[in-house]
Amino acid sequence: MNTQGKAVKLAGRRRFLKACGLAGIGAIVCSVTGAFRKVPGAEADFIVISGWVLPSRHFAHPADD
Amino acid sequence: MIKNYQSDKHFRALYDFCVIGGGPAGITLALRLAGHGWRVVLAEGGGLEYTERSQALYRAKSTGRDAYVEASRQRYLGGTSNHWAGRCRPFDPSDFADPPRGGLPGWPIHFIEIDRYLPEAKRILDLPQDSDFKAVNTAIQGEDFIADRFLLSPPTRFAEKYAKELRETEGLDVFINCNCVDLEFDSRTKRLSAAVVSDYDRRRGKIIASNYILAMGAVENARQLLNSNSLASGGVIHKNGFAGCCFMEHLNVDLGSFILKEGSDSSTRQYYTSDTFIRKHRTGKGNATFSIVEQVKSYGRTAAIKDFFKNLACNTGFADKVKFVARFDCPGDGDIGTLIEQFPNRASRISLLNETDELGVRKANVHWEISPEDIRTIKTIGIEVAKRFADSGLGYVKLNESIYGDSSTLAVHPHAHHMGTTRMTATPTHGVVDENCKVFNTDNLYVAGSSIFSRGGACNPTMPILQLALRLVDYLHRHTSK
Repeated sequence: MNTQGKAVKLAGRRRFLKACGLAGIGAIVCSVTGAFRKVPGAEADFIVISGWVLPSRHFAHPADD
Repeated sequence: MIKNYQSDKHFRALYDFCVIGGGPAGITLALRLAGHGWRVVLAEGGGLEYTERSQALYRAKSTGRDAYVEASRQRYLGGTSNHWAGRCRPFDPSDFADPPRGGLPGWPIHFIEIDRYLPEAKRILDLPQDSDFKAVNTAIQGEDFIADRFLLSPPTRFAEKYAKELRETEGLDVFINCNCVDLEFDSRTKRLSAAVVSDYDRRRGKIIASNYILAMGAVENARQLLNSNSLASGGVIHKNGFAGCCFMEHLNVDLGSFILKEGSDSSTRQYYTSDTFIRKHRTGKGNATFSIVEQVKSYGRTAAIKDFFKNLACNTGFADKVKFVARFDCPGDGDIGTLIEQFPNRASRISLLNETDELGVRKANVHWEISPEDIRTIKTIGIEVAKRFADSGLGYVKLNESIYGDSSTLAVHPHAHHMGTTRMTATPTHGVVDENCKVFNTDNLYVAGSSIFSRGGACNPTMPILQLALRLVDYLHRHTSK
């Protein structure tokens, strides 16, 4: 994959994660755990799940790979 | 000479300096001024050892968050140095260059004004002269946090260390069980004319001196100023003035826990907000300390933590992984504590009750309040240090819900660092003492100790208290005529 492709893929992953965090899957997850959120005021590359502050790269959707 | 005011009430007719309060600041001032040849009296309310009767005079009502005032001070010769832990961290230049958030001015003096007294303060606190303040760990990734640097005092117990000098220094009279109960101010001359003192049977006397220095701690310094009717009627202390206002603490918050990656060093790590961080986030300063719990040190890490890293790295489905993390309820390898700056805030204050103590002095009401800016500082430091910890490959942090969530309710505990109640400012509009520690609108009343801190930074106060006390000694020696 060329550099541009990787960038597009990365951007897509970030959009996906952001969407998850704000609504979509995030809402479903919250209904399960009540504990998923984007880090307040943080850059897009960290998420918080039940307090765990984790790099979002660990939560790439398999379909996104 | 050390005299017991309970049985010996013979003061000199006139002292050059009357120092009230025998803690680190008071003892340093008294010994140094007497060493310069001045006639000095040091009045300590407690005795040579802890007694419940003396300690009870610290008892205050608390209407805000509990600052544990009585438990955190020691009311006998040596003051709170009798139980301090010994951590010494100096102020930074930026503590003096930048005003605190919230609209109040910061220090009216330059950092160099106290930095020049650092070597001598280190000597007093038995810190190695040839060693700079050290980090116990390596830096964390990024520019937001530095490895915190400090030195540990043995710790110095002032009454023990200076026992001989307090007994034998010529020109110095030390009175124990000698409680200040009033300050008599002459509004015509703008001078304090006497400090009224009492023994434990309410037998009173007066100390007459050319100059007076309050060195009783941030609660008591303010309390004595507020308690004096003559200071109020003389226009020195105003009902809506700053005496007692801006009571500050260092904020001790349980940020959460953390787990270490396999192979990471299990020593304690201490990180400190950099000036870059402060400029970027516009928060207060703070230390975050990562401490491994003893059980982990003894028995090694649990299998659950090892599994956590394994599962996090594996390529499972998004929802399953989130569910797994959300259910990972592990106490972790260690906990994260803090020492975070609180900004000065007028609503956080000492005031007086009508109820009096055993000696007839109005009791203090401590209303310790945390502002939204302070909460923002805590949350920002918590979130950012957690991110940098992960970035550095050390492991992961689990923040408490109160840190990452929207709640404004936080469990904040004090560090027994009382500051700010007689703050130093350039003009009386926002403070109590001027840049020479003199109470505004008086000619001979000074204040020493952390009550004069314009902002508290995130360093332990004892060493800066000494730096400022040494500076005050120099000023008083130079500007007092024989």
